[in-house]
Amino acid sequence: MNDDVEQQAFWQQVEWALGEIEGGDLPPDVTSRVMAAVQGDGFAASPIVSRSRWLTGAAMVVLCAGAVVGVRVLSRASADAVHHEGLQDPGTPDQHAGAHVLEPGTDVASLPSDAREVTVVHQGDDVLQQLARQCPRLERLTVVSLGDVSSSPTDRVFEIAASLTGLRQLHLIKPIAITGNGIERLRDLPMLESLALASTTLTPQSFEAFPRLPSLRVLDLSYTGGLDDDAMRAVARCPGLRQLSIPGCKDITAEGLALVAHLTGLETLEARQLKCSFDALRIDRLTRLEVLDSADAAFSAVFVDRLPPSLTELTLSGTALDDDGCRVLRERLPRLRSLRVGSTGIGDRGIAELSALPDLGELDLGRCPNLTAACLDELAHSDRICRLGLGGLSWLRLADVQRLMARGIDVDASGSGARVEAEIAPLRGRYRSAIAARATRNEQR
Amino acid sequence: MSDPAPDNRPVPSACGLAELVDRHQTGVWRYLRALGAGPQLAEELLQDTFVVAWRRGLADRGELPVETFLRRTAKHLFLRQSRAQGRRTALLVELVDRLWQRDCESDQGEAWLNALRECTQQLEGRARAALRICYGPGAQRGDRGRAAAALGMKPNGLKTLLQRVRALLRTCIERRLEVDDER
Repeated sequence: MNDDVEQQAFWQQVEWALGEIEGGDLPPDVTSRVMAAVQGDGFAASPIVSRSRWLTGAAMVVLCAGAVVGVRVLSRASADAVHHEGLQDPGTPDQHAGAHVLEPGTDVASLPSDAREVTVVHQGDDVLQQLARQCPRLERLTVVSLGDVSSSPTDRVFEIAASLTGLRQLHLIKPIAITGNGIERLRDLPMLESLALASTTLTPQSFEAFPRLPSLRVLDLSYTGGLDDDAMRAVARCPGLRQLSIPGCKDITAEGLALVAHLTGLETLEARQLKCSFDALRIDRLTRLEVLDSADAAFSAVFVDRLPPSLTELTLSGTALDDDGCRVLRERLPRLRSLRVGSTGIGDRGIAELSALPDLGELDLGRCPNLTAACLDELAHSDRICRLGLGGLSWLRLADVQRLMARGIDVDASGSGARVEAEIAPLRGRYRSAIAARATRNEQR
Repeated sequence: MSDPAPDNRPVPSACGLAELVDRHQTGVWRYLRALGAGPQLAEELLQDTFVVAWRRGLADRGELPVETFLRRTAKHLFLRQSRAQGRRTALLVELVDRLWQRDCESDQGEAWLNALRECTQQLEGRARAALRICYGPGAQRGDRGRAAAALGMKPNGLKTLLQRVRALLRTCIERRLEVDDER
């Protein structure tokens, strides 16, 4: 019996591994769920943490009491506040837990004290400090400064954010007065999963804080100055990352980009508008990668040959992709559902390859100069494609669009000539049911 | 690959716990899958493993490394969950555990997976197609009849083919792991 059972033990091992390699049964990320379950226990198992929980609890009581008093005193100002309840998270039962927008001239005190999500537009440190006092249970905070120094928060924002112990998401968009000093305070936020520091310039030391954020899953450093190869070494030490956005970070060289291969849990990588070659990046080691945007970046056959088969969404617009590259995409990426290859060198032969992708539902071919009207026959016969981008193709006629829409393919033909553009809207109305039916059929697959 | 946790680590704080979950969850999930749990059950047990381990006090684990402590907790939860705990099941779980310690413990199964990946790439024709159909996206593992029909085979023929493929894979994986060890 032992031999028989021993063989079965080995086969069970083969079965899970095949499930992971072939079937996409990948290890899940349960960090947030475990943290939530243990938070419910209040970390009672740890005496050290119990004490801090006590202090946190006391602080919360004081803050909440302050908020209640504040609401009463300032309630007459509440009509000025702008609340956008329409963005409410369906998973949150609390009726006051929707997304709120705090614009200049509105009163922080009018926000409900149990608000979970707030977007702050054009406000400085003082307002953020008030917000932290008013809404101590904030989970998602977005601060948008739009490049205006006078209304941008400073580095004090990290100290303020650190007081919001339940914070899961901190997005600072164009906060040009921020340099990253004090960012290490975010270590006090055990639940922080998503951090954006987009369109700002950070000091080299700031990047060292990222590996110390234990729950960090999403890091957005779009167009952030200071992100060079040394900074990428720090980013590469965040093994829990699932999503990394580094578009427009032109100080990264091929050596720095190669370090992304250490982030083996990555599911989404936005790396468009980089100047360096992707050849040194062993992207094939990112076996969980589903979404890749490397538009307008240096591009080669080596890179295409290494694309991981797990990809479902790919953007290669503005690159040197050609018909041979399309053949490689068809062979390597059987799970591809969305592909954007506008402004590339692909021609009609490439379309024949792409049409054979079994799950491709969305395809953008705008402004590809080598395409001719002959490719429309191939596209019209595809029974998978639901959305087709054909913008900027001068040869496109209204009759072509009508033919595609009649088959249920929604066509974007912006920039294809004024007449076509103006007449497309009524066509979309006429073929609405065919378009909806095809989209539903694809979703059900 | 991250370093294993030192044995005498203090009780983790909230940050420490999150880090610990992040570091070990892949290995524990794969271990549960190897024990025989389906993906969904493995995910549920994975979460329970960390919560139970935390509540039992990770500090009270004695000299056991965190990884071994978590694996034992996972094994206990899996056995408690599976209703038929005959002698064969218990033996099977012990053998899987031994295999895991031998081949996968040091790197959460990464080298083993890579070996299998390389070995499956060497398969051709029907053998490759059978793996894709039986284990690929959306495969219904229990429905071998449909898989056999898709390959133009009888269910028994598919069964024999899969047995042959598994034997081939076993030889290939063991050879590759030996080569890796020699390096």
